[in-house]
Amino acid sequence: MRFSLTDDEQMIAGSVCELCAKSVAPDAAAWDEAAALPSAIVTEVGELGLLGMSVPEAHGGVALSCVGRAAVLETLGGGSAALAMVVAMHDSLASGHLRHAGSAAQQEAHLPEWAGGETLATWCAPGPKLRATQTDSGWLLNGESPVTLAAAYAQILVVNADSDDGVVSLLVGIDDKGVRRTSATQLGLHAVGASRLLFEDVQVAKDAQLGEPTDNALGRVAEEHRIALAAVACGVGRSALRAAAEYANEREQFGRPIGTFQAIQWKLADAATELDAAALVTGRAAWLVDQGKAAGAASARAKVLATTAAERACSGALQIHGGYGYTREFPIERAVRAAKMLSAMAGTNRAARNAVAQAL
Amino acid sequence: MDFSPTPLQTAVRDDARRYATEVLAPHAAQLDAQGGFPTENIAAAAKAGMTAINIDPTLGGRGAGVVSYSLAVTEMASACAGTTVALCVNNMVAEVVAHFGNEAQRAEHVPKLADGRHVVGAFALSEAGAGSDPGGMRTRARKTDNGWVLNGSKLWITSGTDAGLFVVWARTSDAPGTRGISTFLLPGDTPGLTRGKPEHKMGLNGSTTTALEFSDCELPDSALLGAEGKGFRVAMMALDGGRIGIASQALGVGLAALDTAAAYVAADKTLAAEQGVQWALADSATELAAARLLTLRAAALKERGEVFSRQASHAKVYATERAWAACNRAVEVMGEAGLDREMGVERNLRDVRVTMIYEGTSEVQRIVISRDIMRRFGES
Repeated sequence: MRFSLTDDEQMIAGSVCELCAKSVAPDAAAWDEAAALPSAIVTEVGELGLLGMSVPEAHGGVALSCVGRAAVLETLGGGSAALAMVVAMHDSLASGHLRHAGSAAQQEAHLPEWAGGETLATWCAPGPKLRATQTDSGWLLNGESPVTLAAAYAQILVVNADSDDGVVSLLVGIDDKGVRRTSATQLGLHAVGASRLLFEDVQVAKDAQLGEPTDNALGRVAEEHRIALAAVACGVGRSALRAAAEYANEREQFGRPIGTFQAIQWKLADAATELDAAALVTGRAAWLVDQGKAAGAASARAKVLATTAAERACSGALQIHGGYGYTREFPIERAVRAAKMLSAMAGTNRAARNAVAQAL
Repeated sequence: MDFSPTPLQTAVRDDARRYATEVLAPHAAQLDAQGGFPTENIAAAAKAGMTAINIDPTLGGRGAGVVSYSLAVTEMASACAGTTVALCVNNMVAEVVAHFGNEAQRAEHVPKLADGRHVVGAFALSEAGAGSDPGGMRTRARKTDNGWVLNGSKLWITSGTDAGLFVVWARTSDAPGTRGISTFLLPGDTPGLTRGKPEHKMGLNGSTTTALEFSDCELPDSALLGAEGKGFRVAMMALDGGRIGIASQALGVGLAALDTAAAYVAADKTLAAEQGVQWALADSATELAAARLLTLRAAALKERGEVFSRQASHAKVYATERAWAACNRAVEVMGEAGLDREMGVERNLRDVRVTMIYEGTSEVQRIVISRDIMRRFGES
């Protein structure tokens, strides 16, 4: 277990911090409003290497540890949770799935383009309405995916679908015949490019299948998914906490800064304590992944703890901001909506709690 | 204790339910997406008898009491929280004028608040530097030979875009804090009044919230409501009653979210079999039932003319915070569907959050309650 970042990790986290201050935080509200990310910001995060964080150097990636990636996602999430989740869907999930389950040839064919950001990918979770059936030449996909983040920006999808043999993972081009996407309006993360994907007799060649349904790549990807959600949640929560602390010091009522009232101080203290614990538990889960150890339960604990802490911190920050916090002029209400989204994702915290309980 | 509603209370609740189902519900999602003042809903509210529920019939009201009012607000808020807050404020303004106004003021304004000629009433107390602490107010009213001249600005004014009558608080002397504040009735067409652009909010988009600016607004002597320098008391009494309205509103939103989640769960056997889901619904139902009792108790006390300030604060802090919890649980139970705009629960969540802030934040309610506890122990 480690409590600090390596020099390399620190360097990239530092660059992300600068990027956030310069190009992310100032525009995140406008992106939410427009329900879209400008392509320039995606290019910029690509230039920093964030779209290939998890990818080995041999495939043109940065080969950052999971601990380092969590730190990057936390920082980025503090500026724009939507942007951070687009990065996570591409790197932690889509690339992650290819890393865990793809053949050498598949990795060679795709990872360099994905790592460089020339191609954006995202990852569709399995859902009850989507099925794959085996054909002579490969697979036939039919049905509808659960709402998929970053699908509006993706050129390629890692689709997980139920089949007679279990969940099969398939690479599908967004422009392939029979694929349709419609945008989905949700509570928050409006700029994340959430879409419903409809598949109508989509033919997928045998060589686009990633691994076998039995090799549990989905389990490893799920760990990284939860760690990514936890890391972004920590960033969202800490960013709201910072804003609330600053506001509490400036805002005066009853002739003194409201930060001098115990009720306000404790709200901030509890948020800081809970977020600190969440970040540590998230860091431990990431460290386990780096050690090649099972992180199923650890990542599930991190996801529950971090998203819950973020929800509380953000709601507390809104309360401290009063009426101002309820308006879109301030970043807090956006943080509240984002935290709730992160909490409800990956099968809600019920699924994460079940995973924790099963491990006990 | 008798918890059953009277025939009148039942009738008002049923009228509110009909208005909510037929008028509010069909357009609530669209109103949320577009934002803006709900002109048609408000016009229909006057016809449905929802604008002046606790106002004497001689002044155009329904004369149905505070419990009826609370029941009606909960019904309406289940369908459209935005329209409901505009109606809550209208009812509150009508009560303020009916209670503190002289005969001429009552006769001039209350019937117009009841029948829609004033469109709606608005309550202008908060300022940029005076939220939880109205004593920080800076808007001033200067006495002239034939009346008053108002200068200053207000913030967070519900229905600020369209209201035909504003109850405005302003300093009328150099006394510090909450002393030296007076209450004025300011018609919406008063020269010098500028209405700000609607705030862009997290939710409650079916009501407008604006700033107001007063630039040498001339008002006659007859615009002064209640005694000069006694405005703070008017505001606090109005807010005590207002808190019953907001508690009832939050309760309605929370119940709507619980209903949606329960229907969703009932339709999915796997989900319905999960204890985590069952208990989430059970907790929301229990807490909202308690919130309803606290709210109706405060309403009953006010209706009987008893002291109800602390009980209104109990109701507001509990109902709004538990309704927020119920909306959060509804999203959790429904998962992706709960996040989806089309299901309505995410709107409930965004709408209900402000109830913990306006008409006295949860923190202010806790101050009111704890002060009363300490005062009672100090006496004994």
